[in-house]
Amino acid sequence: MQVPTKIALVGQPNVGKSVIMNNLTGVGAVVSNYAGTTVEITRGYASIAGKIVEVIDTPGTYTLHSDTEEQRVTQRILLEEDIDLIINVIDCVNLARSLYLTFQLLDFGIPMIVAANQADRAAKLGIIVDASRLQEELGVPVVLMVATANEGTEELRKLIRYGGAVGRPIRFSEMLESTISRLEGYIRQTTYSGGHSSRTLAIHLLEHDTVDEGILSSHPELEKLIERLQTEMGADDPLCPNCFRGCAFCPARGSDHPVFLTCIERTNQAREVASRVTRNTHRDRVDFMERLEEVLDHPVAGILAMAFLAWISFRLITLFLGYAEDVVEWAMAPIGSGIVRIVQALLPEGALRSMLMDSLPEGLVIPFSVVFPAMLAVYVFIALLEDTGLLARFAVALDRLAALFGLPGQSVIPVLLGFGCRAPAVMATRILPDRRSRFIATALIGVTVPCAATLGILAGVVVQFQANAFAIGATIIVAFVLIGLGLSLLTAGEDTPLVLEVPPLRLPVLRNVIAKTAFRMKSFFLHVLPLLVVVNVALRALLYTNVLARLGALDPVTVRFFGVSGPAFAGVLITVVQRYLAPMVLLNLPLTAREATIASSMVALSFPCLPVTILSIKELGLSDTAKVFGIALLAPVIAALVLNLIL
Amino acid sequence: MKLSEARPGQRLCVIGFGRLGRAQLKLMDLGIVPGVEIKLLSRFLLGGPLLLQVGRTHVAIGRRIADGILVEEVSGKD
Repeated sequence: MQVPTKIALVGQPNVGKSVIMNNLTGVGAVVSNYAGTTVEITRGYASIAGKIVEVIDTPGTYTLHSDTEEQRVTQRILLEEDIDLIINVIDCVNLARSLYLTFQLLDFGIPMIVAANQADRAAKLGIIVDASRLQEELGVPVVLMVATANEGTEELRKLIRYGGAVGRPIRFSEMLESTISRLEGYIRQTTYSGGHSSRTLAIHLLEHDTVDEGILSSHPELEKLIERLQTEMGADDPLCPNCFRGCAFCPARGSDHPVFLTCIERTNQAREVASRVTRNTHRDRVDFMERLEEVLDHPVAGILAMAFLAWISFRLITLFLGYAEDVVEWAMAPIGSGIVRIVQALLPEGALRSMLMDSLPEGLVIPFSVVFPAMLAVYVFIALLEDTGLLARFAVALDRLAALFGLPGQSVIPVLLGFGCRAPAVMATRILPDRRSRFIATALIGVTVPCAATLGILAGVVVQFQANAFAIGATIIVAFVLIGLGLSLLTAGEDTPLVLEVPPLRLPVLRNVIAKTAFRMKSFFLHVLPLLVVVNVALRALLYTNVLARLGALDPVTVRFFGVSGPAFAGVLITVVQRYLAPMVLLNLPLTAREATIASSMVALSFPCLPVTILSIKELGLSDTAKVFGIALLAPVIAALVLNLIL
Repeated sequence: MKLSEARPGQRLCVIGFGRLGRAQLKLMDLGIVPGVEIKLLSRFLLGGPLLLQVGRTHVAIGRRIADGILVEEVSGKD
C-alpha cells in the first residue's frame, strides 16, 4: 500500500471536477494563479488513510495540446509538480469525448484512477457504463460516481490509498506507430530532460505541437533532432516536410495533416472503447428539461424566452433591492450609532471628532446598505445562470449582436459580472479567446459598465436632486454602443469565431450557487471595504477644510462647457480611486437637477477604479490599460459636452 | 455540402474540413471529426451561430466555421 503524496485532478470542462475536489478536500482549498500565467488552479489537502495528501485541481481542458494556456498549465503540472497520481474525471454521458483526454493522459506514464462521474444522468439517458470493462480496457482502476450527491467518494478514497495504476497507452495504426518509434529512437539519442516520455514527446512532435510552443527553445538539445527530422524523414512518414516548426496551426493544411491523423485515430478509438463499455437501456421518457431545452434552442422562441427571462430577472432584482436596502439600513443603524458613540467617547470635542463621527459610519455602513444587496442580487443571478446552463445559451443567442462590437458571445459573462463588481469581471475576460476581444471587453467594462456600488449610490444622487435617471441611463447605453462599435472598427484583427459547448439545462444546485456567490462577495469586501473607509475619512477632511469649496474658482470654465460646478467636476475626478466615491462627493454639494444629471452621467462613464486598473494592467499590460484610461478620460468629457447642449 | 447549408433537424456525417486552421483543433476536441454523425438542431437568425448535437452534447459554432465543415446527409431515422 503506497499512499500518493501529490494528486492532480484532470478532466474536461463541465464534468464535475471541482465538486469532486470539494468532496475530497472539504473547505480550505486555495485558489491562485499558476506561476507566470493567468490560469487559476485550486490546491487543497485531503486526508487519505491518516496521511495528508496535496490535491491540485487543474483547469478544465478538452485535450492536452499546447493550444491554450489551460492546456499548457495542465501539462506543466503533470510534468513539473512530481504528481504521483492522476485522478482523471470523465463524464459517463459523454464517454467517447472524455476518453480522448484519458488516452492522452495514459501517455504520461503516471499512475492514474478514472472517476466516471454523472453516472446518474447517464442512467437517466439510458446509458449504463460498465466500470470493470472500462478498467480492463484502460488498465487503470475506474470508479463510478455521482459527485453532486457525494456518491462514490468513499470508493475513490479507497482507490487513492492504493495509488492507482499505470495504464496502457493506446496504439495507433501501423504507419503512425512506425514513425513514432523512429522518432522515439531519435529522441533517446538526445539529452532531452523535459519530463515528457520519449513516446509522448514523439506524439507531440507528430502533432507539431510542443515544437511550436517553446519546448525547443528551452531544450536546445532537441535542435539536432529537428535537423535530423528534416533530413531523414521520408515522404512515407506522416510528417509535413515543410513545417517541423512554426506552422502547427497553419491554415493551409488539409484534413490529412499528421496532427489530424493522430487526433482522428484517437477519437475513433475513444468511440470504439466507449461503445464496448456502455450498454444502452431503455431511456426514460423525454423529460421536462429537454423539452425546455428544445424551446430555448429554437432561434425565435428561444430568443423571446430569454429576453422574457432577462426582463423577469431584472424586475426581481429591482424588487429585491427596494426591500433589502431598508432592511439592511435598519439592521446596520445600531452599528453606525455604536461607532459614533465610540468615537465620542474616545476623542475630545473638535473638528477631528465630528469628521470621524460623520465619515466612519458612512464608510462602513453605506457599502453594506447600498452595495451589499445589489451585489448579492447580481451574483446570485449570475450563479443561477451559470449553474442552470442558461448563461451559455445567452452567449450563443447574443453572439451575433456581440460581433458588432468585435466580441464573441461569451463576453456576456464578464459584462454581466461587471454589474456586480468590475474587478472579477475584468478577471473573467480571460475566458475570451483572443487579445483583441479581451481588450474591447475590458474597455467596455472599465468605462461604461456601472457596478452595483456605483448604481446604488448614483440612485441616491438621483433621488436627492431629482436628476433625470432616463438621461443617465441613455448616456450609459449610448456610450457602451459607441465605444464598442468604435473599438471594433479601430482595432485590427478578425474576430475569433464561436466554438462553444452548450451544457445541458438542469435545475440549479443550491450548494453551488451559495458557494459561488459567497466566493465572489468575500473578495470584494475583504479588499474594498478598508479602502472605502480610508477614502471616506479623507473626503470628509477635504469637505471640512473647505478645499472643495475653493474649487468654485473653476466654475466659469466647467459651467460654460459642461454645465456643472467646479467642485462637482472635481468630485467626478475622484473616480480614479473608486468610482462610487464620486457620488458621495456629489451628495454633499448643492446641485441643481440638471447639474446632478450631468455629473452623474460623467461619474457613470469615468475611470475604472483602482482594483480594476491593477487587474487590467495584469491582464492586458500597461499600454492597453493606458488606452482604456484614455477612453475613460474622453468619454465623460464628451458626454458632458453633449448633455450640456441637449438638456 | 457545407454544414452552413444544412437544414435544422437534418442528420449529417462530417466528411472533411475546409481551411479552418486553429479552429479545426477545437472542433476535433469536441468530437467533431470526419466520420462522426452530427445533427443540426437550429440556426440562429441573421447569420448567427448554428447549434449542433454531437454525441450527447450540444455545441454552438459560428457561421464562418460552419462554412468550413463539409458534411453529407445521413438517411434513416433517429
